[in-house]
Amino acid sequence: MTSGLRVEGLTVKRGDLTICRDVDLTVPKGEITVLLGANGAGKTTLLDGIAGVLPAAAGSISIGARRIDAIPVHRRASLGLSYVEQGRSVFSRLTVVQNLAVVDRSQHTRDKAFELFPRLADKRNVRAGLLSGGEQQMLIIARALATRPTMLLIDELSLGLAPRAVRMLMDTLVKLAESGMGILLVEQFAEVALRVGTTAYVMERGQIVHTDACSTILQDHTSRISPYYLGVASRQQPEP
Amino acid sequence: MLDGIISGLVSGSTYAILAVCVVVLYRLVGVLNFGQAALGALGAYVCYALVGAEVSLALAVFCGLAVASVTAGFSGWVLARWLGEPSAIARSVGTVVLLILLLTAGFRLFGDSPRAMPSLVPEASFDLGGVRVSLSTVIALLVTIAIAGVLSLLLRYTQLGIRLEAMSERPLTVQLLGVNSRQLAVGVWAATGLLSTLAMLLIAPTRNPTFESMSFLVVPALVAGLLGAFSNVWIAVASGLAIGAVEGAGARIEGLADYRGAIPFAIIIVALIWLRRREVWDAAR
Ligand SMILES: Nc1ncnc2c1ncn2[C@@H]1O[C@H](COP(=O)(O)OP(=O)(O)OP(=O)(O)O)[C@@H](O)[C@H]1O
Ligand SMILES: [Mg+2]
Repeated sequence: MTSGLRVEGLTVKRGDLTICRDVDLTVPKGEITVLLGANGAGKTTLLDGIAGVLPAAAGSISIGARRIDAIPVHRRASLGLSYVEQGRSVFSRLTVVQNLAVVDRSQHTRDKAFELFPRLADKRNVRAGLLSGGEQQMLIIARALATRPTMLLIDELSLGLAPRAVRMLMDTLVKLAESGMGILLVEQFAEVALRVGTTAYVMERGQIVHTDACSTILQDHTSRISPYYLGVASRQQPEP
Repeated sequence: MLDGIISGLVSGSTYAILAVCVVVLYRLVGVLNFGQAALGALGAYVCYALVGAEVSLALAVFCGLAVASVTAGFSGWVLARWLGEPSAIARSVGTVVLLILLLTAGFRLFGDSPRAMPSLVPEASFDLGGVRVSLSTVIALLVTIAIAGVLSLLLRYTQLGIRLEAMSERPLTVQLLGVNSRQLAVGVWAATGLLSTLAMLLIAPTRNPTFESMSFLVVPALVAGLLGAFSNVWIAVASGLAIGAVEGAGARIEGLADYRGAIPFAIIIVALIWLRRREVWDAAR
């Protein structure tokens, strides 16, 4: 499949420290691909590498037939790659509408955002810093969508949110995938992600140690995934 | 006394415009630029050197503005390239290096003797309630207020302004949204280079300063910026004008005139004590 995001042999370092080593991964269009792993496994580092926040020390990244691993961050975004960072990365001093306007000031973008998240329409002139955690995550998704991505990387969307908000956001992601977008979803507590995903990758100490269909992993409680699945995995340290 | 205050407003306008540059650059790009006035001095001296070489005034002014913008933009690019990641303090120390480089270059190119500088504004003055007010004072004030006003509107109501505000909070996120934030930062630098030159062209005819003394006009500008906690453009403008006015008044008082250069420092000390008293100092980033 050449239409999605393809990562081959990717190694990502932070300073001199190799965090992710030799990662192979594909994110097809129209599906949610799940990336699981304990704290410190290297999930965020991998996404940083794909989005260009950190340089690729080795390997290749491509969207469709196009290599993107030597392209600067802002140009990767204009090639259809959108990255929702870990933590609530709203511009807190700007209003909801202004947050969207950083990308695009058009009425169309605004309408689409409010159609997807009607809650945001009521708060359009509220400073983003004053929104609830769930509303902030909605705004971040809406803002990422304003760049009209074909590939969406999402890091820990559900962190600190109530189960209802999580379910609502997951439903939105399913809709987006159905409309043809490819989504790479990072989650530490796996069950919600596995229920919406197609394929799952499991990361340990910076390497992919397991790949399987999400449904298989969900059923197989005895597999090596269950510690993550139950959310009781102990903190892993990467090898230096 | 009132005459002194009025005539001090020309210097005050220069401090105010420089302070606006310092504040805008600090707020949006996170750099406290100690070389701000030196960039303006470069532009102004290029302009006067060209005038001295029989180039028309308009072309000379244009070249001065262009040289200062390009130099400022390049400095911003270099700082972002090599000191982009480290703290705001590292970048600000980088601007001290910029100041030293510009002082050295200015000394080599233009020497250290003051030179007479033509005024951009025709010599004229009028009487306002018994006080002589020169046209250049009025123009300086108008230019200052126009610059601050236009910048405020630009930052508040345009997409560029929204992006700059966003960049000041999360430069990486702005980049992830497809905006070239380094280009934006370089643009802000270039704009401050241009405005600083304008500030210097206002003050130069009244003082005929050397390159070095012009470069150190950054001190009152930093003071004015500090009074606005390096975030409020209008407080910076008011403070800049006030410093100029106080200096102007001081110059007319026997026995104080020799010490008027120390006025900004006195104001810094008072301001620091005042800000600490209200515990704002820590929160001022
Ligand atoms: N700025 C940094 N400099 C050096 N090492 C870092 C840095 N940030 C993270 N690390 C290390 O890299 C490893 C992987 O971190 P990363 O943030 O990618 O993990 P993660 O899987 O996203 O964890 P979490 O689930 O907690 O978000 C960790 O061991 C961490 O200590
Ligand atoms: Mg992480």
